[in-house]
Amino acid sequence: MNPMKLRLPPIAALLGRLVRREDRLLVASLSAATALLALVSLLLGPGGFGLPAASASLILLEIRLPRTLLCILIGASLGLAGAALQGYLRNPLAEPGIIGASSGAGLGAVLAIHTGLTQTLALALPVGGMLGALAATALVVLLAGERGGPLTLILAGVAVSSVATALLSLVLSLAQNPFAAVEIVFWVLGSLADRSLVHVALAGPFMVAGIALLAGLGRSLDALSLGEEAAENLGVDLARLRLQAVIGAALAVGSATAIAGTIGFVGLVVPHLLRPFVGEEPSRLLTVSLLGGATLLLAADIAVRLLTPAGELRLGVLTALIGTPLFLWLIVKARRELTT
Amino acid sequence: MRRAGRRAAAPVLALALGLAGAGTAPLFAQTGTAPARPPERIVSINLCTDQILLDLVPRERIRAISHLASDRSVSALYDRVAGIAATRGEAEAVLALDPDLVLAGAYSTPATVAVLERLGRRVEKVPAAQDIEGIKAVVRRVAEAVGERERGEAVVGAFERWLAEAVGDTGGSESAKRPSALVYQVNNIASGSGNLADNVLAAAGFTNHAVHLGLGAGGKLALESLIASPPDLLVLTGPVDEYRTVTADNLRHPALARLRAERATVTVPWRFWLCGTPYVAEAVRRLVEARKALIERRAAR
Amino acid sequence: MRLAAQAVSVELKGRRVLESVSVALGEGRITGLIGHNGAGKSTLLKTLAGLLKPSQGAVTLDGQPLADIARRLAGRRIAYLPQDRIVHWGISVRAVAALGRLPHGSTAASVGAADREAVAAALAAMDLAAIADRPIDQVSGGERARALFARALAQEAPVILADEPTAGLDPAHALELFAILQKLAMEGRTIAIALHDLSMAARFCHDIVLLHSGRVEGAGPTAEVLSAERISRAFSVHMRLGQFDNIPIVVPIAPLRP
Repeated sequence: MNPMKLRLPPIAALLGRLVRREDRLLVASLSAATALLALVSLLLGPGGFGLPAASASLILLEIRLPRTLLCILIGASLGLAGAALQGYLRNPLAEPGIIGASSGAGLGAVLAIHTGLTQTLALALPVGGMLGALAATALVVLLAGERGGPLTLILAGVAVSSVATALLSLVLSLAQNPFAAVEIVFWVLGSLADRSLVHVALAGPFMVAGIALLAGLGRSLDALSLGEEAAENLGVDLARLRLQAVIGAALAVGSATAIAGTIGFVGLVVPHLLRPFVGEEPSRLLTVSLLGGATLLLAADIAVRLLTPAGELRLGVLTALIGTPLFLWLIVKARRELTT
Repeated sequence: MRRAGRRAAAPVLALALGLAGAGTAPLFAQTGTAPARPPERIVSINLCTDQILLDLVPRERIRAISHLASDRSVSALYDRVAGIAATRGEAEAVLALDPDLVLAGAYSTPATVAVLERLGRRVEKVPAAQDIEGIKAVVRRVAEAVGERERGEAVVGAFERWLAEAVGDTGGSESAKRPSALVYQVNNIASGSGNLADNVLAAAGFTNHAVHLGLGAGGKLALESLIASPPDLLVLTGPVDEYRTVTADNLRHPALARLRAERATVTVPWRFWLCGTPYVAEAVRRLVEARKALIERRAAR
Repeated sequence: MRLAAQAVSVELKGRRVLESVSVALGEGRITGLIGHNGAGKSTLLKTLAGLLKPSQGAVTLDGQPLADIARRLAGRRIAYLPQDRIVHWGISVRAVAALGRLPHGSTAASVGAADREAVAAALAAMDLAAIADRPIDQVSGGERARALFARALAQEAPVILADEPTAGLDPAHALELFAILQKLAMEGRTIAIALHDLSMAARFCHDIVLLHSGRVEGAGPTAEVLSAERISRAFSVHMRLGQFDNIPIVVPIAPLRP
């Protein structure tokens, strides 16, 4: 087999081979949860559960379906990107939000919108997001690298994130946009309200491409558990690994953020919760994190729609509410380890 | 017969200018704050007072108006303010103009207003009108403040005639079932009851669908709710791609496009009824026309 | 397979770490790399493994330049064990050993019969069967070292390059490891290890390469290279060689005065 060819896992037929026997129950459960929550999402409207009272097909097809599809795609992208980045950076705190990929994507998207590019070319929106995410991720990898410990990574991520968000605010204020204040809330906290099939078509292919790239990183990430030198000995091309990880994350997270704004913590929480169930092996974590991310985002979006049917509550608020207890638990755990 | 908003404004303006030729300065005895001489260096830092002011005094007496007055999306007089200085309303900028009267909105930046008052400038805080009578009251109040009480009455009279003309003969429509309308804006905002938009809808012979949807004073309306329970007339306040922002995506949603294709929609530019000025009559006129079209369509079925 | 370095010079961060080093690792033989701290032992091993590119000279595997061999294939020929015992995640001991099968095409999801056998044999050889399912961050330092060596065994590579594999192992397990190395050598494998324990080197290594400040001070059969005066000079320590029940021992007496 030519080692230079990018390994894209074949779909469907090899699913059985892709999933280890021990993980089959978990994968099946998460798949079932995703399917069930997707059904709930399709049946949930501002008035409660059930099919729409009128214009049912229009509402289901044009409003509820895109929202459900995006939850699945974006959740999968974020969960997988988190697992992949944590595996690549060998750092359990890595995730698209913390390393600034999401903020970078937001900046790229806002630039695409407010320079008018998206009016001439709709694709400029996801492309702007992806370029922004790429720049941010590459910058953080450069600053902190794989050799940087958790502290260096967080510092680099905070730096890049802050700059990106500040520039985003700058662009919005310069745009003379009377709705700049509201718009920045969208970019910083994310929302899936009123997304349409157009958005699915714009960002979907890029998210799928990013997912495919990231999903192929399994064996390289496993080898990387032993450090770079041993990984090289086991056949890993470190340069190509870096490229695949960074580009895959940028594609998936960049296009997702361009459509839905920054949705944080999914990429952090999902791999953390699922890691013990897969023996902490990075490759096994990829598959379950993809499904776990979809499940989590569907659940969060359903919760948002139950709490504020007209859409005042932002998705990012809910994911932050989920993520913060995890952070607290990490702090407690770290303190305990220091004192023992 | 359709008439452009511009030309509809002509009667009011002509009236105002006609009276300007009289050139006397009537004395006022009512309010204690009335000056001995009418103010000559007026600065308006509020969009709504800008527009009322422009029909009450000649340009020479206006030092500056707010920068929003030239914005087509929010000002009904955007094309008539060229040549008048614009200010963003910061205290220092206003003071530099040495005004003898400052017109501000009730909710204009309190800090700015406080500074101006503390420095002894005369500031008239004009509340925003929420209904037809309120508009007349506000016009009269500003007229009082600028020393043009008679012209103010003329403007009010012109407004009443304009309104009556706009509403036209809809005799009998009060007893007939009033169609419903909903004002749907950027960021899923729908206008609720008790505010100016609501009263304009009522003046044009509509019920406010937002009440039917339980929105109260207005607020966010989920697109799905709108689609599931649409009004007889959907009212938009501008072209759907007017604002290049994510928060206006709701206006560009395919489902809304479908709704607009299937149901009656009218666009009444927000600049006519954002502020409580006589120019809401133009908004009423357009809404009434839409209502007539709606009734004709129903009758045709 | 014969692994050789021919007049290899290696630079790291602008500093010349190896200067014109030539070594030939023989089949069926254990070669010990000895030298003071910073002499270049680790660098030489990494260069022989193909992880570092020499600025001069070349490394050949059975006469073929190592640089020409595809990465994954090289992993099936050469098993390299780094000095730092890194395992980033708390994977099981078995999973650590199983990583050695990656060059053979296995993944965590799909494990073939040959892979399973190789892993089982490696775990048994390193006496890890009892703790095979325990997470690697919950075993002792010595057990971790053995698990990592099991990975190298599972690779079933004809060449094994190990950097201080017995550091931190108790005497029993150190002796076990050398016994395994001897068995592997008898099977025809080519083995090179860097180590500090000169007595063990004298006892178990067929050949010795003595490095001093990036240069080869001596290379050849153990008996030839390991002379008291040569190693005393190389380590700047007065060394005495002796025997105990026919087992050679090397004792450092005192630092040599400059």
